[in-house]
Amino acid sequence: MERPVLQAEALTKSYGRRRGVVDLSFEVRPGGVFGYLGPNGAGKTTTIRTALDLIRPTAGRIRLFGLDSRRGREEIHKRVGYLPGEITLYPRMTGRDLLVHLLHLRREADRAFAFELAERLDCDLDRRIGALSHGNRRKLALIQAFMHRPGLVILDEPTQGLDPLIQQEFHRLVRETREEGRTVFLSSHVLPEVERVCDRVGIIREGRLVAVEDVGDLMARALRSIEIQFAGPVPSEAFAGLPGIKDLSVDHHVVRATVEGSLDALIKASARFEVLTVQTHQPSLEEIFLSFYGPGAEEEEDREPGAPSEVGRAAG
Amino acid sequence: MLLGSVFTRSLREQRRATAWWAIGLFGLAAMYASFWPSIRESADQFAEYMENLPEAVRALFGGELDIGTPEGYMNAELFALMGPLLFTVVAVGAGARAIAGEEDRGTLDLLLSTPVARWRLVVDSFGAMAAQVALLGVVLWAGAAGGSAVMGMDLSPLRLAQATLLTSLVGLVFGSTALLAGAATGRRGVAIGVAAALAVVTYALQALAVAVSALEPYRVLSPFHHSQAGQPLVSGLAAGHTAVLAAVPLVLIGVAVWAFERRDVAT
Repeated sequence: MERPVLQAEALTKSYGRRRGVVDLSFEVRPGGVFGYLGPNGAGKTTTIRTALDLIRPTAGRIRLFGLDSRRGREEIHKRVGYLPGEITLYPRMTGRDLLVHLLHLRREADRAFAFELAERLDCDLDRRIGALSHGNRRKLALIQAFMHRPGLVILDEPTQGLDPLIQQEFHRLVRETREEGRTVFLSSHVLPEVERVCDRVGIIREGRLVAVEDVGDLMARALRSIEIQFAGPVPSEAFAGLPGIKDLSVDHHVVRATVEGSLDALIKASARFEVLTVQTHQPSLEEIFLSFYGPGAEEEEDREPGAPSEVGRAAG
Repeated sequence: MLLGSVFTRSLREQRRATAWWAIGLFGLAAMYASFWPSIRESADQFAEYMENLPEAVRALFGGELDIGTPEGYMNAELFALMGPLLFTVVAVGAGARAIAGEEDRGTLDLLLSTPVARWRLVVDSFGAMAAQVALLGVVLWAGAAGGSAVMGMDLSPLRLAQATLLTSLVGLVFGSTALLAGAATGRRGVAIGVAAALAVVTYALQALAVAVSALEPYRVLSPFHHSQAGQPLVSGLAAGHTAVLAAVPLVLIGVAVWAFERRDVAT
């Protein structure tokens, strides 16, 4: 297998007594789009800033392109594009000046792509940045992250402040990056977007990794709710003990259930009777995500740190 | 290219401010020179007046040289307090803006995500500060030398250049202090505060040491002492004093590089 583009090895960062991230281990394979999900304060930005050697780990390490984040910094940064979550740009410079300056600092000779991106995103490069709207500044920030065609693009909350048309363009950009075999690592709250754009997802909660899975697998494993209406009353015994069924309720001619994994068993059990309607509710990534933070998950609070969680360790 | 590095970009960002400073410094030097004829007329009265001042107060006015001579007058007006003060203001501004300013503003993250090394950021910023101070030094010299020639003060342009050099080095010492404080803490306010406090304390030290003998051994700690003690307008550059003023900024920058390298950068 190809060497991972980003690899955290027992990465731990604490700020005095405040915890940042604890014992994070995961990898990002090349050529995909990896989504990093978690609420505010979970440790997403801490992870990203450690990867970029802005802050240093308390323990463990994080590698990019096989190089240690601190020792290999110069080489890494030649191949990385970065969009910070909270970005301030130089108000008295024009967009054009900023891009040219950053291209110099990144030792990138080709300016054409940068200006092409500005055109695609409809960004005015000749006004002072201080005079631009928030959305336009975000566009500029996005351009500078992609303009030197880096092997890894790290985006912290990329679409905040972008209108839907520009978001479309952004998604196109991400797809193109992936098609060129390069990798995108983005952290986001906007879960419908992550669902659309990402191949793989890492979920972080209170500094710890809760899951790392392909988006497809996650969705397949998710709990789906189903409601089947029959022509007449049906016996509850017909549905008892089916695999993957949780929260079964048989009420006269209506069967409601929450199903984990395949619906096959339930469908086959239902087929014996006359079925009127079947309604399933496909959970969004948002619902899946929230299930990691739902009431069931609260039990984990009392567990000792390091104990295996029900959801499963980060499957690399 | 003016956007090719942090050094050039910093200079470019400051071009308007530097222009205004240049106008001000040139004007200041020329203005003092233009007062010379009336000072010379009252030279004797001035000498008597200065003699009657308490030693300590006289020291505060750079009163080691006779204010009735062109050298004494120019030194007192430009090189004892005003010049070093103005260069300090410029240099401390630049030093505080460099790392701490970027960090306070929130632009440092992006800068540090490029391949540019942290030490390079410190050095480039120091370079921009030194270049700005050097340019303003040339302008001050031009104003003083030009004014001297026009007003018949007969001051040696070489001596003026040497005095200007030492004066600007004093500014660089405090500017480097600000850069170090900023690189170590990431806070612009702290950088300015530390440098300003140091400037005030060392100036007072140098001025009071004339009258207070107990402070005498500590004079060496004051950059103002090193810029004045050799009487550069009269005798040119004294090797020891010049070496100290040139070396201190370099040492401070070295420490700044070390301090910046080891810490986390705030969001």
